[in-house]
Amino acid sequence: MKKWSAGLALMLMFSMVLSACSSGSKDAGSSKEDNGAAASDKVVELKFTTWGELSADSVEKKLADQFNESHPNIKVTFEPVPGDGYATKLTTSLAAGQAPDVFLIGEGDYFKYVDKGVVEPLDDYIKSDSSFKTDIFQPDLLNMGKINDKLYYLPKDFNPLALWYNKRMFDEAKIPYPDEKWTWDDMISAAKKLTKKDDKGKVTEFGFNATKWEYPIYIYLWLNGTDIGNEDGTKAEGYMNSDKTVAAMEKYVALTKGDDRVSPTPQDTETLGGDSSMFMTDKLAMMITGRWVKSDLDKSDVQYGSALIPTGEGGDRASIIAAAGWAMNANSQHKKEAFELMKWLSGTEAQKARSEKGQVLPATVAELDQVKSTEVVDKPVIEMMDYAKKPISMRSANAPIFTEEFNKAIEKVLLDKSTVKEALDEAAKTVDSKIQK
Amino acid sequence: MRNSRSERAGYLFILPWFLGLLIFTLGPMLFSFVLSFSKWDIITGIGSIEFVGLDNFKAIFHDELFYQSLKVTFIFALVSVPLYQIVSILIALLLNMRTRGMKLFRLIYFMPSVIPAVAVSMMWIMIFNPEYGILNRALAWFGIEGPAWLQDPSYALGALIVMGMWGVGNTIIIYLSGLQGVPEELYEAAQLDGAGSFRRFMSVTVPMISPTIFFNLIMGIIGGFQYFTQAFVMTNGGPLNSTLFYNLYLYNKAFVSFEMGYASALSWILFAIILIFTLIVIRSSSMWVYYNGDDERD
Amino acid sequence: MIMNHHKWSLGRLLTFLLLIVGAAIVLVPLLWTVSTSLKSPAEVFQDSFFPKEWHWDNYKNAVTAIPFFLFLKNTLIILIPVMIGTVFSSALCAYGFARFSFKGKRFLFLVLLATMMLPGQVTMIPMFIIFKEAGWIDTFLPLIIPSFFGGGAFNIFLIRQFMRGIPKDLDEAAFMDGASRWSIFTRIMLPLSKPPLIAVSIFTFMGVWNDFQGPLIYLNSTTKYTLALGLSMFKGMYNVEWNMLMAATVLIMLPAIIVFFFLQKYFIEGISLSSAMKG
Repeated sequence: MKKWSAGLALMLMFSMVLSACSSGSKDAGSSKEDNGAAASDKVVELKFTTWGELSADSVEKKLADQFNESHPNIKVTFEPVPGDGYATKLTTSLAAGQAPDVFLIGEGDYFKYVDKGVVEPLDDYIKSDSSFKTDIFQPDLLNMGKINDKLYYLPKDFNPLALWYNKRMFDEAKIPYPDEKWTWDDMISAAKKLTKKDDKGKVTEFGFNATKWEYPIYIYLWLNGTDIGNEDGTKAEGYMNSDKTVAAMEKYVALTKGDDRVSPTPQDTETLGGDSSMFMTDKLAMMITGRWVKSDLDKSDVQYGSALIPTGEGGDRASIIAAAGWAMNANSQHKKEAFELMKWLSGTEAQKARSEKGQVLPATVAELDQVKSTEVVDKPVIEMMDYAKKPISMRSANAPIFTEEFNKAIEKVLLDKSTVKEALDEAAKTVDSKIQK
Repeated sequence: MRNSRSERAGYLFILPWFLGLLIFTLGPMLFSFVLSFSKWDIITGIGSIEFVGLDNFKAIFHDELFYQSLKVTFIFALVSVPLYQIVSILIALLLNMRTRGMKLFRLIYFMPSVIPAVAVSMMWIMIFNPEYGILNRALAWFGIEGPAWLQDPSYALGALIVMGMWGVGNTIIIYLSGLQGVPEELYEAAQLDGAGSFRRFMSVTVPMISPTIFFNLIMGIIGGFQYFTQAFVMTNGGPLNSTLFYNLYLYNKAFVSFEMGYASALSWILFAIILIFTLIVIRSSSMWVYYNGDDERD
Repeated sequence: MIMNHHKWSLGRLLTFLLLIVGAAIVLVPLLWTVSTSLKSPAEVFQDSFFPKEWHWDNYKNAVTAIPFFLFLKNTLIILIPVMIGTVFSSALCAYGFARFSFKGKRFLFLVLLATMMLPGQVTMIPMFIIFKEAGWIDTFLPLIIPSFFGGGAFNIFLIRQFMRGIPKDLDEAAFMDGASRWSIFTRIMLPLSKPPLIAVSIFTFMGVWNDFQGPLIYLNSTTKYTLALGLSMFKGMYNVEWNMLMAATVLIMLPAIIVFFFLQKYFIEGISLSSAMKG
C-alpha cells in the first residue's frame, strides 16, 4: 500500500517537475525561503475557514485580527469560502493535504468527518489546559460535538428548531396564536383553517409546511415513539417500516396531497423561493425551521412569532439543534496553536461579538441566559434546546444509507407510485442489505 | 506532401499544446486511471490510497444506479445531440441572412449562453413550476393542462432536453462562423446554374459547413455524455432517479460519499463510451465531411 | 444563403415571423431575470411579472456589498492574458494540425480529443496537487498559465476545422513565392480565420468571466476573488437573496453582451476569397 501511493506521488512529481521547469523554478525556491523564515522567527502560521462571512468587516475577520494582536507568536489568516463552494473546496484541500488548521463543520457532517479520521479529538488538549473550562458552554451543544465519548467540535453557533407563525394570517382567520399546550393535531386543525383557495380550487395560502427536510420529520416520528433506524444506525427493519412509522408518515404525507391539503409540495416551496419567502409574502402561516430564518424575516415587514414545536399525543416534546462547530485538522502541523485559536473562536468574547449583531445566539450559558431574559421572539426557540435529540446523521456513519432510502420512499409515495407501507418496507429491506455489505 | 522540414514545422506548431498535455493534463489523467483500481476516501489525503485491483469495476457491474445513470445519459445524448444540431443549423441559417435588424436578432439568440449555467437553472426551476410557472400558464391559454415537468418522472428528462434548446447559442455562433467561411462565389455560381435555394443549401452549404457539423457533432457527444450542472442544480437526479445523469452519479460518489476510486472507475468507463462514439463519427467522416482545403482524412 | 435586398417575398416574411417568435421565447425568461432584479425581497415571489416598485438600489447594493471594483480588477488580470494566450496558442496548434502532415498526427489529434472525454470531477484533485507542488495556490497562475499551452482542445479543434476549409492553393502559392511558414500563418491563415477566432474569444471571455470552480479552488484570499466568486455571496447557506442574485447576474451578463455586440460584425462580413488574396 505504501509503495502504491509512492508510485502515484512519483507520477505527480513527474508532471510537477515539468511544471517547475517551465516556471523557471522561481516559485519553488521562494516557498522554501518562506518556510525557513518561519522557522527562525518562530511565528507559527495558522489558517481557518468558514462558509460565508466574505465581507471585509465580518465578525470572524475581526476575531482573527484580535487574536493576532494578543498572540504575537501566532499569525492566523482567515480564509472564508462562498457557501455553495465550501464542501468542494474543503474536500479538495483535505485531499491535497492543504486544508486549514481549523475549519467549520455543520452538525449534519459531524459524524462523517470524525468517522474518516480527519478531525482531531480535543480531550487531551482540554485536560492539559486549566484555563479553559468547557462548562461555559450549553451542555446540549457540547454534547453534540461528542462522538464515541470523545469531544471533537467546539460550538460556533447554533439554531434550534422551533415553530414559526405568521401573525397577520392568524389574525385574519381569527385563530389564537400557538401556545405551549398545542399538540401536533391542534396545529394541523389550525392549518386547515388557515389554508385558502381561489375560486378555481388552487391553493393560494398554505397553513403549514410539511417539508421533505428530514429534521421536522424526525421530530414528528420521535413524538410518535419511533425513528427511521435504531440508536447506533445498524438496523432499519422494525424502525423505518414499523407500524408507528407507517402510520405517522401516512398522516404526514397526507398534509401535502389531495384537495384538502394544507401544505405546499416540496416543489411548490422550491419555486416560491423556499419556506421563508412564502412566509414573508403571507402564503404560508406556519413552519418548523431553524432560527436562521429570522435574519430573512426581519428584512420584510411580516409580523411573526415563534412557539414551541407542538407535543405528541402523550405530551412529550422533541427538537433538533442545527449547529456549526470548529474542528481541528488532524493533519495540522501546529495543533497546540490551533487549539489556542479554537478556544478563542468559541470562547466567551467571540460568542458575545457574534450575538451582538443579533444574528446568532451565544453558545455559552451566561450569555444565553441574558438573551433569554430580554428577547421575546427567541424565548421559545431557546427553550426548545432542552428537548434536543440527536438525529441519525449524528449517531452513525450509515446515516446516508438510511436517509437516501427513506427519501426515495417518501418521493415514491408523493408521486403515487407506492403506498407508504410498501415503500417503507422496501426501503428498510434495502437499507439493511446495504449495511450488511 | 510530407517532408522532414514540413514535419518539423508541424511539430513546432503543435508544441505548446503538447507541452501543456505533458505538464497539466497527462499527469491527472494517469492519476485517475490508477485510482480506478484503488480505494480512496479522498478527504483522508493521498497517503491512504489502497490498491484493490478490479474491485471497483466488479462492483460497478452490479450497481443498479450505474445502469440507471447510463440509461438516462444515453437517452439524453441520443435525443439531444441531433436535435440541438438541427435547431442550431436552422437558426444559424436564418441569422446569416443579410438584412437590417439581424444584428439585434443575433444578439438576442446569443444572450442565453452568456448567463452562467447555475443562474439559468434557477430561472428554469421557476418557469417549470406546474402551478405558478409561466410555461404552464402559457399552455393554459391554449387549453392544455401542462404536466408537473420536473416533478414527474416521465417528464423530467424531457423538460431538461427542452430547456437545453434555449441555450444552444454557442452552437449557433459556431455554425454562423462556419457559414461565414463559405465563399460567396460558390453561391453565385450555383445560382447561375439555376439551383433553387434548397438545392443551394444541399449542394453548397451542407458540404461547405460539413467540417463545422463534424466539430459540433463530436463536441455535442462529449458534452452530452458529460451533462451535469443543470441536473445538479435543478433535479439532483430526481424524481425517482429519472434524471440521474452519469456525471451526477459520479460526482455524488466522489464528493458526497468520498469514494474517489469508485468515481474514477466510473469516469474511465464513460471515457471508453465517449471514445467509441467519437471514433464512429471520425471513421464515418470520410463519407460526409468535405474539406475545401485538402483531401486528407481524419 | 444570400437573399436579395429588395424583394419582400412570402418566404422572407415567414422567416422574419419565425425569428420574432423565437426571439420572444428567448427573451421572456431574460426579461423575467431583469424584472426580478428590480423587485423588493417581499415581491420576488408574487405573481406579477413586472415589479410594482422599481428597486434600482438593488444594483447599487450588489455593487457596494462586495468590493466590486477590486473583484473586477482581479477578473481582468486573469481575463486579459488568458484571452491572448488562448487565441494565439490555439490558432498556432490548429494551424499545425490543419496544414502539416507528420508522423503520429492522427493519433495525436485523437489524444487531443481524448483529453476532453474524462470528467473534470476526477482530474480536479490531481490538478490541484500539481499546482500546490508548484507553489501556485492562492495566485492567479493556475488560472492563467495553462491557457498558453494550446488554449484548450475545444478551441484548437474549432479553429482547425475552419482552417482546413481554406483552399490550400493560397498558402502554397505564398510558399512558392518564398514566404516562411510563420508568415503564411500570420499573414494568410490568421486573417482568414477571423470568424472562428472571434468565436473562440467570445467563448474564452465567457468562460473566464463566469468561472466559479477554478477561482474557488485556487484562490484563498478574499482580496484575490473574481467577480463570479464574489457575487456568489448572495447565495447563502440556507436561502437565496433572489433579487440581489439576479441583479448580480444581470451585472455579470452585461459586459459579455456588450463584447458580443461589438465583435459580432465579424460574423456579418463573411469571407471573400478574392479580397483575402489582395490583403
